[in-house]
Amino acid sequence: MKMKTYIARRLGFALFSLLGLSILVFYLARVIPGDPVLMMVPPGTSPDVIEALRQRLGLKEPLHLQYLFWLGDVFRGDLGFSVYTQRSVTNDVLEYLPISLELVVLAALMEIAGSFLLGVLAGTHAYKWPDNLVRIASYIGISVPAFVWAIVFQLIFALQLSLFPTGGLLDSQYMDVIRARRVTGFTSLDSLIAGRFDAFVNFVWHATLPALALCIGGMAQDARIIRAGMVENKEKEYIAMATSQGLPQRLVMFKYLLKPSIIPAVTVMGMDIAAMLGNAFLVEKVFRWPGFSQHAIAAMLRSDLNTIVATVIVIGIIFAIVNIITDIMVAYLDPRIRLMEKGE
Amino acid sequence: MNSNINTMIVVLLIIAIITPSAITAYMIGTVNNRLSSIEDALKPPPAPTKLLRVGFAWPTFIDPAVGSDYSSSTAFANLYDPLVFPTTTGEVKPWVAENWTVSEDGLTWTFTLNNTITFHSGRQLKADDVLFSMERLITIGEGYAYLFSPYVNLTTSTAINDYTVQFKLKKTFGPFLITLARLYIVDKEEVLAHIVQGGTYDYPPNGDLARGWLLTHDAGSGPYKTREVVLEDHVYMDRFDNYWEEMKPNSPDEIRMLALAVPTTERTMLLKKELEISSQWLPEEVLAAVSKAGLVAGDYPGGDMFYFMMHCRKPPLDDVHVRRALAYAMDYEAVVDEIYLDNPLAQCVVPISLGGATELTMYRRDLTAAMEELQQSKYWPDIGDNPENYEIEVDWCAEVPAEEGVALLFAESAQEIGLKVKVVKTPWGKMIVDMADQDLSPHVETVFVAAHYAEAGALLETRYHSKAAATWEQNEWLLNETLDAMIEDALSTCDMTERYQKYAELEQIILDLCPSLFLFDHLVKHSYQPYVIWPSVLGESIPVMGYNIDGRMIEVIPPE
Repeated sequence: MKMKTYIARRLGFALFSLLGLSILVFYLARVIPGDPVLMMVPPGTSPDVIEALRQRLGLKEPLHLQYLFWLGDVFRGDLGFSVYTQRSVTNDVLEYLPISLELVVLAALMEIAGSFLLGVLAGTHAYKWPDNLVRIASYIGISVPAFVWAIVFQLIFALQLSLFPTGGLLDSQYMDVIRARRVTGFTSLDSLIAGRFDAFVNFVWHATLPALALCIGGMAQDARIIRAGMVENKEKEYIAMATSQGLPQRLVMFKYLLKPSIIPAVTVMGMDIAAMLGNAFLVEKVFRWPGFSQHAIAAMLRSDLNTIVATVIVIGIIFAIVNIITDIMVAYLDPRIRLMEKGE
Repeated sequence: MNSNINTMIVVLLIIAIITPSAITAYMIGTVNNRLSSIEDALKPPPAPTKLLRVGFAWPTFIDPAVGSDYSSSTAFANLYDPLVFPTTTGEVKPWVAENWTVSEDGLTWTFTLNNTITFHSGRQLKADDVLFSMERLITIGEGYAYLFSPYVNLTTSTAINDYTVQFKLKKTFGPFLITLARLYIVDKEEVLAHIVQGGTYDYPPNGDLARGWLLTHDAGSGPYKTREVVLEDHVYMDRFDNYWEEMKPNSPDEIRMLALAVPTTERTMLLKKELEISSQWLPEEVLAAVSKAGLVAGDYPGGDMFYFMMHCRKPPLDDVHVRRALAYAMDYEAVVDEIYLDNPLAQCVVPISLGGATELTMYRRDLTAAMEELQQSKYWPDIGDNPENYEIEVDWCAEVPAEEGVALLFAESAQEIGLKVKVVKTPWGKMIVDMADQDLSPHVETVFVAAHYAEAGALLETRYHSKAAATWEQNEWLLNETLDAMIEDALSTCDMTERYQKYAELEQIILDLCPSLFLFDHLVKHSYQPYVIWPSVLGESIPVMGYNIDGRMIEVIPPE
């Protein structure tokens, strides 16, 4: 099977899964307790107004019709009306998603760099003190939730040391500039497009602590997986053969040992990074990061049906994309998978 | 094949490294002369001299026809002018309306307007704007519309001339004047200019009455005007230089309402002087911690009360003696000594700041009286012998963790007279749905309820009139027609003294029926910086939600 066919097949599966996900979430959002209209309006609101709002949200139709109408609107780019923000859900997604994606990308870069560094360090010094040190650090990293890291970092680096800001996306003087010249919705890109490298730096400065808090758990876990892979593969015959042939240690290390060792970590990393988007809500709350994740949770708590469905679908799409990219990367890294796909 | 893959990986890596490097290099090249500004980007910005940053819980809707909660009401107080302004005594004083007259039948109210007020747009505020504000509010039907829509007759109300507006009422409504503190005047022309199609209103057909625009902009004449609104994050307001009324000498130049949800973040911001006034949701331990660090703790009456609402139609609470037994068993002192610290115990059926009756004898812990009441109930002695058959379910709001402590205390108190209580953590969304249905409603719901306007009648109506039985402001299901008629009679009484007498009678009857446990008058607690002078926490609070964080009154004198 060619790679193009492979990717097309994966995309087909992803679309099918997303359709199933949309049906499931659409239904679940409507059966969980909580009336979005009653939660939105003050108690004395007239029944006529409440009925009109229900009508506007399409809640008077049978469930299957509601879904079909919603699906039709989605194909027209309309994700419905949000009772929580009082505007189009599409607007909300376009506003909040880039803000979270930027955080996730920065966290992903940190996670990749950190896990490789720590994993290789532990793998090359297996059962020695650097390995033990990384092991302890990894256990702490995995066991402490991201929001606790967020609070700890805020207290140490923002309050005690004043090295980083307490929270927010940008300082207000840069916010004005960026909002006036909003092009992509991504603050980092808009800063660069506006030629304001200082705003870009200010953004990265604000994003550093939340990104670090977000990636620490994944980083620690991936470091352990890389280390375990290296320790296991070190004992393989092909490594012994390469070493015995007198190949340089660095070549053996990076070409023959590291490559197969990182394959499991790449798969886990992909899932970790995709999951960050949905899991970032407490970190976003602690650092006042006006992102997609905290918006999604707030909407869920208020039974904002259209937002619940839209946010879950968006997260599902990102999961599917990251999953496909991860599979392709793994296929490139592991020749056995390619051969299997070819039927050889 | 392998070499192809390796080549591809190398190429990808090169692209991944070169592309950002090239962009960065390009940007560095173009901004080489701004290196000092990059250095500035890594420093906290210098704060404006008179900046007031306040913590809030989102949502904050700055459209006066949409919002009605605490943070929205605070935004209205700063961005808009109301027709009349509430005072610290719960009355109103002239504001946009300089004076007014009311017809003998109480159905026609005529207001003469101040002719010196200009909107942020520069246009003058006129009678047409006042009338339009009322029309828009009632047409949209959200926000504070419910205060006016049952009473104001839009078809007969008119703008008599540029500075005189007349409201005709469908029926007499004693507190009408007081409620006008919730009529925020919008700039009609500004609103009309921003109407877009796609709405559901008929003015013009299919227009949105500028709801979309007013989500992030204001059309007011208040002391502050919006600079930036980012939904779920912040509302920034700048001082309006042409404000018609005198402001305090050190009134803030800028107000920033910040959506804050995590107490540790607020604590950090307070300690770093990045927040002048905390939100009202800080836990007691955080308030105490920041006070030790030099911040000031302040409070004012919130005009709301914490109730345990008892379902009067669900056995065994359908028997007044069981309800009274529970009311006598409850350990009220422990609630305010251990959980909601320093909140004053309820002195009447509604908060005392709303003018509640002062001569009532409230229920206080008395286990002997509780047992006597229980023994008079129709369920005695079976309820004592088999309490498991009469289990009482108490649902507390999952979003307010401190309520659990009070619910457990209630269970413990009930157990002392042999009753069994089941404490259930319930999300707010489910509570609303449950309380909308008489069968789904649990035995007891624990809810804070605030008055919609600064008068006892406001709370008596929402808490005990049958028309509000299916809302989250009631779980009692009293459905008592006599009580309904008495409430309506009191509210339609124009004479204030007489009206309050009627309220006092109503309170005594309600107390005898004992449909609720009246726990405490809620104090709104904040922590604030010592360089802020805030009259509301110094005994000059206004008993109308939203008017206590008002840039007109607050002064900011940052330390040198």
